[in-house]
Amino acid sequence: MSSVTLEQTSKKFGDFTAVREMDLAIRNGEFVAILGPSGCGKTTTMNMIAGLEDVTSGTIRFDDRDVTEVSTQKRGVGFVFQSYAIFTHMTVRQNLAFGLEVQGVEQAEIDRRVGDMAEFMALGHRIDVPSAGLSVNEMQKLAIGRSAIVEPSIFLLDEPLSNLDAAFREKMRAELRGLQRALKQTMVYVTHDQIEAMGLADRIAVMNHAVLQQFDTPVNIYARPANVFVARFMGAPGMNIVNSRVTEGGVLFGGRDADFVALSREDMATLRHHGERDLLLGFRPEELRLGEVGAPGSIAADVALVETVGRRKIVHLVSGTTAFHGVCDRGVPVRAGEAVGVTISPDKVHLFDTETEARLQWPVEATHG
Amino acid sequence: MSYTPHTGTADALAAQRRTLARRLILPTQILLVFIVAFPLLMQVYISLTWWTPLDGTLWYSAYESWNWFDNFAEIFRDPGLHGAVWRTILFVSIAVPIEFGLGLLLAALFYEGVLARPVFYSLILMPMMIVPAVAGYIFFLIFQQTGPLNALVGIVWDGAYQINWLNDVNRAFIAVIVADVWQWTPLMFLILFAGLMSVPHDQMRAATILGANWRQRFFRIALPRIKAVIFIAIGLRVIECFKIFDMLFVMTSGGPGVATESLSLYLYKQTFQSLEWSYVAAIGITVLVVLSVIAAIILTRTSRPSNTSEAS
Repeated sequence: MSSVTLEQTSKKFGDFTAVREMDLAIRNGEFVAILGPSGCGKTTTMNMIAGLEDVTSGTIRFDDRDVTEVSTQKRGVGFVFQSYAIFTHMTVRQNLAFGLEVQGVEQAEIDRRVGDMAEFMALGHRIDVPSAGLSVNEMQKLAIGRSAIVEPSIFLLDEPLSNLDAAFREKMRAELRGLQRALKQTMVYVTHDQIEAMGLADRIAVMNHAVLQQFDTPVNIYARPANVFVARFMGAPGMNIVNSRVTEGGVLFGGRDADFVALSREDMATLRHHGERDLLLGFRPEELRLGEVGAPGSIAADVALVETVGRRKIVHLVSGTTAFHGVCDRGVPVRAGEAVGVTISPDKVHLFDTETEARLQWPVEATHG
Repeated sequence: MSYTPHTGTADALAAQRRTLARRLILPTQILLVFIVAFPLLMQVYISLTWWTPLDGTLWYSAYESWNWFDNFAEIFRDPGLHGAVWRTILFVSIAVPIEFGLGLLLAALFYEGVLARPVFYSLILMPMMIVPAVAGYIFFLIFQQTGPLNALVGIVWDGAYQINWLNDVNRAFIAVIVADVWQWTPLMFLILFAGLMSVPHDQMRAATILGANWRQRFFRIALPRIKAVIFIAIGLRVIECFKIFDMLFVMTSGGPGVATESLSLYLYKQTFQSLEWSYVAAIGITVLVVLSVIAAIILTRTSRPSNTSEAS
C-alpha cells in the first residue's frame, strides 16, 4: 500500500475543465471518499489516479514514485467498477487468477494465492462456479478480491454500492469497511452519496465544478464546512443559508430589520474589524429550536409546511421574505400556519462571505489532523 | 360473423381465443404454403421423375416418367458434380477463413481506435453494397492480361504482362477468391465489429488495470465474449459462399474448362445446357438438406454457450 499525492493536477477535455488544479494528499492506509454531485470531476479524478485518463497538467505520485506518465498496466492499482466488471465468461477461479496470469506469475503460486483469496473473501465454496451466476454480494467480493490479489498499491472504488437497494447497501457498506481494515489498503472511494462517505471514510474530499472544495474528516466537513457549497451539500436537508447584515446593533437575520442573531464572542471579534457589511449566515436545520413567539433572542417566523419523515418533522419556515428549514422530533407540536420563535445557539452559527462564499470563522487549514 | 362469448369455464374461453388466433394467422399460413411449401414439394416430386422440357410433358404429368431414386443415385456417380462440390468446398475453406481473419483484424483495429472510424467506416463497407455481378465485372476487368493489375505490377517487373489470370487453371481460382474476399470481408468486419462493440467497456478496462496488455485483453476477454457472434458470422458466410454464382459467372463462367465451376454454376449448366431438370431438382434437395444440417449444428453450438455466459 502507498500514499497518493496529487499536485496541481488538472484535466481538460477540449475547452471543458473536468478537474482544476487539484491538490490532494492521501495517507498510507487511509480510506478517502471523493464526494460531489454528478459531473463535479470526481470520477475523472479517480480515472487519473488509475491512469485511465491522462493528466493535462500537474503530477501524481504513489509514495515517492512519480506515476504521472506510467501506463495503467504498470501502475499497480486496484479498481472496483460500479458494474463490478466481473468477467462473466469465466469462473470465480479464472477471475481471481486473471491478474496473476497476465503478469506471468508461476502456476503453483497462482493456485496458492487464488485459493487463499477465495477463502479470505468467503468464496471458497463457489470457486469453480461460473461467475455470471453469483449474487451481487458475491460479485462485489469477487471484484475486490480480484483486485486485491495482485497486491495493488492503492485501491479505487467507483460508486460500488450505487446500484443496490437501500437495505442491502447498508450491509455491503459495513462489509466494505471491514474488508478495508482487513486488507490494510489505501482506498479511494468515489460516491455522490453523503451517507456512504460519512459512514465509510476517514477523510472526505468534497468536489464541485471541477474544484476540490474541502478535504477533511467527516466530523469537520459537517461541523466546519469550508464554504457555502459544502454547507449546503452535506446534511439532509442541507444547511440553511440566509442573507444577513452586520450593523451597529448586531447581525440582522434575513430580510427583516427587527431580529438579531446572537453570535459567539469569537465571531463578534472576527466581525468587528469588518465594520458594517453583508454576509451569509448558515445554521443547520437540526440545530435550531422552535419556541414561543417573542422568546428572548428568538427570531419570529411563520410555519409554512410540516413534513413528517419517520421520527422527524421537517418544518418549512418563513421569516419576512427569508425561507429556511428546521428539523425537530416528531413529538414537537408544530402545525402549519402557526407563528413560532426560532432560536439558534451562538456556537452553531456559521458565517460566510457574500462574494466568495468562503467561511469567515475558524481557518479551515487549522482543522487538519 | 357475430362473436358471442360463451358463459363457460376459463378453459373454454381460452380455447375460443385460440380458435380466433388460428383464424387470424390463416392468410399468412396460406401465403407461406405457396412461397415455401409448394415449390419444395414440387421439387421433390420432379426429382423422382425423368421430366425434361424436351418431352413436352406438362409438369404435373411428370409421373409418366416416374423413376423413384434414380436421380439421387446419379448424384453419387456423377464426376462432374463431385468436381463441382469439391471445388466449392475448397473455395469456401480458403475464402471464408481469409475473410474472417481480415474482418477480425479490421474490427480489432477499429475497436482499438487505430483506424479513424468516420473516415474508413463507409469506405470499408462499400464493396458489400455492390451487386455481386458488378463486383465480378470489376474484377474481370482488373484481372485482364492488359488490365490495371498487370499494369501496376508492370511498373516494377516487366514480365507482368505475360501473366494471364483468368485463363490459367490456378490463377483463375486465386482471382475469384480475391474477388470474393474483397466483396465479403466487409460483412465479416461489420458483424465482428458489432460483436466487439457489445463487449462491456468496464471489463476491458478492468483487464487493463489488472495488467493485461492488448493481446491478452483481446484474446482472453473480447474474443471469448463474442464466440457466438463469430459462429454466426462464419456460418453465414459458409452458407452464402457455398452458393456462389453470379460473380463466378461474370468473371470466368466456371472456366477455364471447369477450373472455377462451383456447385451453383454446375446446376446452372445442367439446367440450361443439358436440360436435366429432374436431376437438378434432386441435387437441389440434397444440397438443401446438407446445408440445413450444417446450419442446425452451428445454431445449437452457438445457443449453448450464450445461455450460460451471457446471463449477466
